[in-house]
Amino acid sequence: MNPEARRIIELTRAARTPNADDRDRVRRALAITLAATAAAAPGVAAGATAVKAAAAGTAAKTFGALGAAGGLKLALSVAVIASVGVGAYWWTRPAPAPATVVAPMAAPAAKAVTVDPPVVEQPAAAPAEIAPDAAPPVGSMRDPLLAELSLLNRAQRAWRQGAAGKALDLAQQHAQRYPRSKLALERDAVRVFALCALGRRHQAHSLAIAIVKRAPRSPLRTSVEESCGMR
Amino acid sequence: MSDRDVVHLPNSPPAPSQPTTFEEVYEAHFGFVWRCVVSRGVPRAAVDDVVQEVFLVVHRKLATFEGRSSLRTWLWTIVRRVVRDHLRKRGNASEGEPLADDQASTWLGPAEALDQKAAVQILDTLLSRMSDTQREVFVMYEVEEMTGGEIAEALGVNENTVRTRLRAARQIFSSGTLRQRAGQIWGGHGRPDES
Repeated sequence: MNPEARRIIELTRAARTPNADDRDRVRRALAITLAATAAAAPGVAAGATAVKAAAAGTAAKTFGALGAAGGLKLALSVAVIASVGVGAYWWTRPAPAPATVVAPMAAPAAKAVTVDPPVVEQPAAAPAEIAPDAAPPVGSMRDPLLAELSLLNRAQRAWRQGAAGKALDLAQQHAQRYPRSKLALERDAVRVFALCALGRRHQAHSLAIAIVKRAPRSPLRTSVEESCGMR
Repeated sequence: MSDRDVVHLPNSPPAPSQPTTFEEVYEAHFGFVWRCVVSRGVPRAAVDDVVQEVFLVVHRKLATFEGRSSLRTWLWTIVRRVVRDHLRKRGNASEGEPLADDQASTWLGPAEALDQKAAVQILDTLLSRMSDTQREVFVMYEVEEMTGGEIAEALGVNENTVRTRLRAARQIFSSGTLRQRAGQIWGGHGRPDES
């Protein structure tokens, strides 16, 4: 092709090539979604839960799987979202047990953390085995970020399992413990869905409006808009 | 249309090593998936969601990927399905929709961004002059940087067919860019009768 044609293609390709921000933004959202998905997946038993911890630091550290006991398949991965300048997270592929450990990736300073908890990976049928909600004692988690995410996952799981009141309580606990959380949007989205489930539409509406205003480009927006809070 | 007769890009090795973990797939192919999603007409505001959805599928199915096709071909089929579902859900867009104005890379300076935007507009204009099959092959090869073998596999045709379609598409594109240089496409820079 002539140089002009080649240049147009190169420019177009450049325009359609993501930058580092794109890569990291999607990675963060994906990590949380995968964690939320895994937490809600059927067949997750506490004994088979491999919780991987991320430590604070400017660089990622290497961690091993801590669990996958009993020969059951690993079905839970926990993503930790770094606060500014701190932290690491990773994910795992849904590999057969024992858990495959994937090297951690350094996470850049967190910006808009997004997640779409209500629309991902809903089990097609009622899970044969509901993930027990026995909360790992928060105090036992050395990493505060992991503890926070665990609490949020429990709230999401409670909502998915129809325990909207419990989901609301857990979200409230989260709000009290982590008033400046980077995951406040996700927490409030859980609140909206739980409020809807409880028929508290007016409260859901106020919260939904606030979420959409705070994060107009978040993937959460669609789910929130589809909830009773916006209808 | 003289620079390449064979359907292999220098920077697209025909047989790249296959990543084995989800993280490796993400690292190695995020750009490819993103480009494919954008090229297939997903509006900028939805690209994050669609790319994320693609990787959720990858995460779910990677353990069952047997390597019978190239990983990129496999990814491309996932992208195509996810994008199609997304656009259907939207109900107001179709594949091949021109790039939205805000889809030029934001990390460039204004002049470069303008160049990119203009280039994208030209490309979309010229793509509209191609047949569907020519356009698909052209975008897969030139923008998404797939190899001839990957394209043939993804589309279920042989490489000769890919080559033929690509050659025709390039002729359309090359002649179009020549006319563009003469001022036919740049509305503000010339009129058709000036070429």
